[in-house]
Amino acid sequence: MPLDLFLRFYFLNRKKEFTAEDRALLVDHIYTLTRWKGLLEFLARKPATWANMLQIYDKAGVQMILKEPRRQLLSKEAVDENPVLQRLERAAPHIIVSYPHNLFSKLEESLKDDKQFVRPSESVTEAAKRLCLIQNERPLTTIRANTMRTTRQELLRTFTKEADIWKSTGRFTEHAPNGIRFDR
Amino acid sequence: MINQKTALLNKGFVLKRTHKAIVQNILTSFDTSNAGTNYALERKDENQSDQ
Repeated sequence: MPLDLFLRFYFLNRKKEFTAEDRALLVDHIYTLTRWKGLLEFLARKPATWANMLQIYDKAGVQMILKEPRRQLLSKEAVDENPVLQRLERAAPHIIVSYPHNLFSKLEESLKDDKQFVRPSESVTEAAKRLCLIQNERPLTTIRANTMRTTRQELLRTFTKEADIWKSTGRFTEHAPNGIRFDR
Repeated sequence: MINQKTALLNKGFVLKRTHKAIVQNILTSFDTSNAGTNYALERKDENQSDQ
């Protein structure tokens, strides 16, 4: 069963136990933990149960690193300063980006001749790491206005006015003409 | 230190103890339910290859 369906059923039977904010927070943490399971397994005390992985996830700094993985995991200064990140110096590249080994190797293989994605200053492995970190970022909620009924300006105003949770997080999308992206 | 922890808690960067228990419970249940599914699929494959 996919995780999203599992969560839907889990919360469906417990509507009165959680507020919408609690539910959103819990689901956000669950998805983050699932995306970074490979890395957390490496960092956690063995056996790498969810209890041990949660212990390392909850240590100061780790969650923030996982919220901004591209800035944190690829920066030499950040790695040198953080005791958790220092331990990653010995880790294989696929573990750092929390990817299965065979999938990471396939990505490296496919990027070998890709001059468009691989920068002249980086190796194929570094480019594959960069790609994996982009894919492991938290996805943002993006919507498109139905222009038969409204405009995106009007739609954003409605969201801002009626739902506190979306307040001041909505921005117009850069390329799609009718899109709005929420930073949460 | 306490203030820093409270600030992180408010931003959702540190899990409340109750939240942590719920998250752990959900993830463990999810793993268990999928382990059952995987086991059932493996048995199905075995049965099919036996036939």
